[in-house]
Amino acid sequence: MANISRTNLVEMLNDLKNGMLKMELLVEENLEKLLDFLKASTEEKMSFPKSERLNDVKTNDLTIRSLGDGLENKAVKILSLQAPVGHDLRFVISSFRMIYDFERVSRDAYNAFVKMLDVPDSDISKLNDQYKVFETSIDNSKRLLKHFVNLYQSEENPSSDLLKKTIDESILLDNEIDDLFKASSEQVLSLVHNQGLEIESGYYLLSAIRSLERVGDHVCNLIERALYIQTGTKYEIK
Amino acid sequence: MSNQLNLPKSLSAKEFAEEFSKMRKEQTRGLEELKFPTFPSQDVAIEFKNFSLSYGEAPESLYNLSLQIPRNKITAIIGPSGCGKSTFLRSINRMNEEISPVKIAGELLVEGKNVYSPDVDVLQLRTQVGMIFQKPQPFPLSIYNNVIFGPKIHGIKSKAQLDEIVQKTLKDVGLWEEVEQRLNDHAYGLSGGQQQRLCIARALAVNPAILLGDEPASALDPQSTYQIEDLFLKLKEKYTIVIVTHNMQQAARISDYCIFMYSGNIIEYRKTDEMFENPHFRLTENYISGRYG
Repeated sequence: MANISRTNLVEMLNDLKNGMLKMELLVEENLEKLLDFLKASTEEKMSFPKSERLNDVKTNDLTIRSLGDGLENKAVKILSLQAPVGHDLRFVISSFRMIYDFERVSRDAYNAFVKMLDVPDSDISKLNDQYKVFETSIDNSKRLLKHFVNLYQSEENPSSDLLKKTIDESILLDNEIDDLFKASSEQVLSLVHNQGLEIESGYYLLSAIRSLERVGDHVCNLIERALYIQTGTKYEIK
Repeated sequence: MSNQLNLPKSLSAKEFAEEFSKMRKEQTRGLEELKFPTFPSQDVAIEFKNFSLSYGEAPESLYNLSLQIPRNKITAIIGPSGCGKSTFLRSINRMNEEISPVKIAGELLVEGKNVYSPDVDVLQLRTQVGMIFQKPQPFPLSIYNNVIFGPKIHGIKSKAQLDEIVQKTLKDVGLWEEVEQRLNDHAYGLSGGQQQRLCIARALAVNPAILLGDEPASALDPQSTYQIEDLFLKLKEKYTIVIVTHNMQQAARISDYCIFMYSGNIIEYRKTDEMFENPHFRLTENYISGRYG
């Protein structure tokens, strides 16, 4: 019985995997920038330095999109030329959905950034509590991303302990993001009604909150895909 | 990735079964035990019951197989060379005995009847279970005479009846329109794909319940291969089809169930889409993904 490495297939799969991990790094970097941005604004009570940081995030977002296009082409090539099966097949078909989710995480983070920048300076001093909530939400999404990476890079059929830990903690983190979204939305409305926050600012904040909640959802999708790749079972964690 | 078994090549099917049972958990990384599919009795065409086969005094080539093959489905048998696929297939219509004397343990039921019972008429069995081989093997006769060869042996003499059989079976295999004007031409004048369809028509002419195919498309060009695959997909409405194939994509394209064999044992037997999406054993995955062969 000869062992055959199928070098081409293995190299193509590794190439795709490295590309996906690169996307993940860029997405994580954008969330980090968003987090720094919020921390700076609450700790230093300063208005947003509008252009520089946004440009950084936008550049990453464009890179992610272009990377995604390239990775889709690689995945199509693997399907058409190598006819993968089993774990390889799950890995390749999941990549399409994951590319979309990475792009959405990046785009939603960018949208949240843009909407926060639209809040007039005069309203920023009223928003310290809100920004803390945003920080928690982004922090949760980053922790979800870590779960994704651990699982994505783990062996096929990971231990039941790792599975349980990933699923349980992901559900908790996502639920917390959803709860923050609801509570935060109510707080913004209350600020508009009771503390003179401009309606326009309220709208921008609600849009930002919504985008941050979507970030969490898309990272959960990534975890679900990683679970499917490694186990062949479709789990729902949302 | 290797097959990761690190077992000596010389193990008999029985020895392999014993060794593999020790590594089942590691092979599945702790997944629940896989159960082979079962079917209501009226849907079972073929059943192996603790069936073992050895050639002469050699160790078992097939060991303790127990499984059911469903009626009106295509079941593909895959596995590396020498794993026992063809022996498995030939067990069903007792063709192994044409190669060498065999020893049998257990039972093999076709349509509920043990084909190794002393009272079984082997000729009748092979009428009931037709076989198509890797290389088209038409008889050195005309197209017409190839098709009527079996029916004539079974005593049909009426020209009208034989004509009807020729037309019906050639239509069933999609060959009628291509040859109706030249039924008396020599079969060797047909293309490889046409010859294979003629051989299938010859098998169908004696009205079998089961068709066995031993790599029936591996000697054909892609277009003829797709024609044979399409034909099998149509024929399964009337017949139970079991094929051996080395072409993983062919198994994935046309079979409903897939059996993965290794060293005379059935390692995995499942619905084909499940096996190709999520193989239970590392050994299966490494084989179907082309990591060894």
